[in-house]
Amino acid sequence: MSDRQPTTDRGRIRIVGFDDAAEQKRDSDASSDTADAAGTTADPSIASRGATGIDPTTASTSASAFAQPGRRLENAWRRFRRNRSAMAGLAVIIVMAVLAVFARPITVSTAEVTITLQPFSLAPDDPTAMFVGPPNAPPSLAHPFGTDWAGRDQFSRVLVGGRYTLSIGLVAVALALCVGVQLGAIAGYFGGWIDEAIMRVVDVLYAFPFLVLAIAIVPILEPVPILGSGYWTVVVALAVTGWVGYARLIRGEVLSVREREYVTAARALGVPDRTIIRRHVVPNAIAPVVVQATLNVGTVVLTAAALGFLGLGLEPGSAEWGAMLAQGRSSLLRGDWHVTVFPGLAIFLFVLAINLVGDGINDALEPDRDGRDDRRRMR
Amino acid sequence: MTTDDGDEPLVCAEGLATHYTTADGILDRLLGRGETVRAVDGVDLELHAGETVGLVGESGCGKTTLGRTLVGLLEPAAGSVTYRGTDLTACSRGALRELRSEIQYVFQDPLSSLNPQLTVAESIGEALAVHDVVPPARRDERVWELLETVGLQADYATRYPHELSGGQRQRIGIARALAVEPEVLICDEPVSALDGSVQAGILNLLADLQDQFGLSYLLITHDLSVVEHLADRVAVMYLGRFVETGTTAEVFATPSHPYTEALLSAIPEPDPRWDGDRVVLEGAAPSPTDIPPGCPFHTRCPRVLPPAASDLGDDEFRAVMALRTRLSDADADAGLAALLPRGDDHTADPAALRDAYDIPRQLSDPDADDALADALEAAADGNLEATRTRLASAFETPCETTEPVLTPGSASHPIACHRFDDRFTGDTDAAESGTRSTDK
Repeated sequence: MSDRQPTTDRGRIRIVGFDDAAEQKRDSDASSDTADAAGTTADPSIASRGATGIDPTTASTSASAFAQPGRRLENAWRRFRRNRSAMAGLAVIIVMAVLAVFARPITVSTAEVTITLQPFSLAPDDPTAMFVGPPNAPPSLAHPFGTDWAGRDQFSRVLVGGRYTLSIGLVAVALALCVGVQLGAIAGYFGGWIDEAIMRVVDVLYAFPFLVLAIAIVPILEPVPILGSGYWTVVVALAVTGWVGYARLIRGEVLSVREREYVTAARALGVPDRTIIRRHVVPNAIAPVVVQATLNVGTVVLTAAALGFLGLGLEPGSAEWGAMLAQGRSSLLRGDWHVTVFPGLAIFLFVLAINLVGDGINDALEPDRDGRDDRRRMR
Repeated sequence: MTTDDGDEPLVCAEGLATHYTTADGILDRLLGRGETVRAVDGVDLELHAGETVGLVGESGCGKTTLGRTLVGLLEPAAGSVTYRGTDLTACSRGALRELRSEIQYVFQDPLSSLNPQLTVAESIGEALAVHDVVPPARRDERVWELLETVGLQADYATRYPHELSGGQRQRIGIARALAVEPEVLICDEPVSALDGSVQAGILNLLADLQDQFGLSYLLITHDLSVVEHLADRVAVMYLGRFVETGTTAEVFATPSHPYTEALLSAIPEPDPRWDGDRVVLEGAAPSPTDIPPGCPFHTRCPRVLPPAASDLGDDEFRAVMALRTRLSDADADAGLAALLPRGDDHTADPAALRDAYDIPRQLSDPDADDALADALEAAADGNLEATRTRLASAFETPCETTEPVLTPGSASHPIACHRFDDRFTGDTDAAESGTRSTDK
């Protein structure tokens, strides 16, 4: 700047000894930029020139404004553990899952050999065995939840029924997530006509109430040979109706994430779009979707139960909680309360637990965001 | 901007223009609604091996858009970008991806340009993996080397961006750009998000890296002291066009474009006894959707040319131009209130209007004064439209009718200003144009 001589002189005052000051500052503050000493060797006046006239937006303030993302999972788990109701919900789910898994032995049968994967049997009776006790017997020591119209042990049926209900919830949500996250991320990232096409399909599916759509899809799916009647029909029907919510939710997040500079940076590096979506966009957009998916497990279980209650999906005799409720209708009229109360309680308990966990995950992942707003936006 | 040394430029942009549209959604596009934002509007730029070109201008003048168009992040609306003779705008996607490794980009905000979910090693390693710079087995080693190159210890590789300071993050951003072994680095405000003491470190690192690897830089900044420190050549940008180009010494020396003068006068000076003239530009930059005709700077130019026929002084004419600019912005129905400062008692008096815009009670050119008095009478009657047309016919400046070209003219380096064009200034003006207008 000394080579420039305008009408009034600049540069009469120069700041020297900048390096030493910077050095001391660094020693005192261990977290500051340790490597600057290597850079600021050449000309102290230059260093001071570079230091003047630039607005001092300190990086540290902007850093604290962000959530701590790198160790996000650890922090989230710590916050989750402090949340008592969420931990109680998690405990209920784990107990139910363990009970369901260990209710009856699990065996894999091929033509000749039968391999037992899980030998334990907590349920006293085979849930499909009829007349293990008198029909419609009230709860007793031998049959703690009583028996149904065919004399099947209700306790065993509720335990084993957890297998259907829990796995339908988890598998249907997982399938819906796979489809919804991928399509939503693609729609949000690429935009344009791809976005329009995908989101119009979503809008069409959204126009139907969740349950009505599932009811409409089950009869369509039943003739499909691989699915057959029963379990997988329900799962696929629930996945088909469920993915739209995730697609819409993640698209909204992706729309904001794709404008972030690290996505631009990856594009400038020539990273393929597929990798950008997988590595940069989805991981930074997934949090609200995870929360929503957890909460949706409860909805899906209720829908599965409703389908079972309406006689759709699983075959009539199966020990699914919703189907058990449906069959209990007639006994309810006769005053046999125990046939419906126990499967109903099981559904209630599981859905409650899932919701507690979902709220806990929401609070843990995004402590500054109210989960209820999200849910209101979804439905 | 060109240099005379004759060697082949690494990156060359010709007539480059990048436009955005404000049209949003299919319906807007079908109906043709929305305006075109001419963010970059016809720019020629050459970048030679090992040199640093500074690109300066105020916010929103298209610096970043130009940088991103050069890297290929944005699609140019017109013109071409060539790298070593290969036209990047005509390249296939695959070929462009390969060439991406030659031109790299350093972002302004080091925090937002690093993925918060990835460690430093993953961020840098991604660049290595995409272009297969080193075999997978050696990638960790290479990441450590790169970290050391930018002055960080190798154990930073396992950290996450939020665990680093601003300066460290920017070093990571530079390391990531260097990972693909580029020849050109486009630095978009590389230090403006950083603390003063850290800025010097990053700037010196950039200078060291240039010596070490023979890199070429396009240094985008609004901070002239940074440009003065690093750049070999400077391009001053205003509303998507270059208004002045030349070597750093030429641009920083007078005479220069009035806009450059205003920028230069804004460099802070620590000397309490320094009494330089601060050229304050009036108003905000015009919107790039509606670039003024002629010289895009004439609406704010402190040294706008008076009409050739009149004998008006620069300051007098500038004051009249301020009134005209205000008139053209004002709502036709707003009446006289739009012209007077807020809170004034709206006396419909031509003299009050003259005072409000620092126009002398008597202009030095009697004809012009008559025309002005005439127009102000109309304004006092609340007829803004008549005022507007009368002023426009009486005080038409060549700056608003003719677009200046980026040529040396009477100056030593290309300046897009009629002040440096003999056709408009006659003989004397250009010589004394070095002196800055003082009455501000």
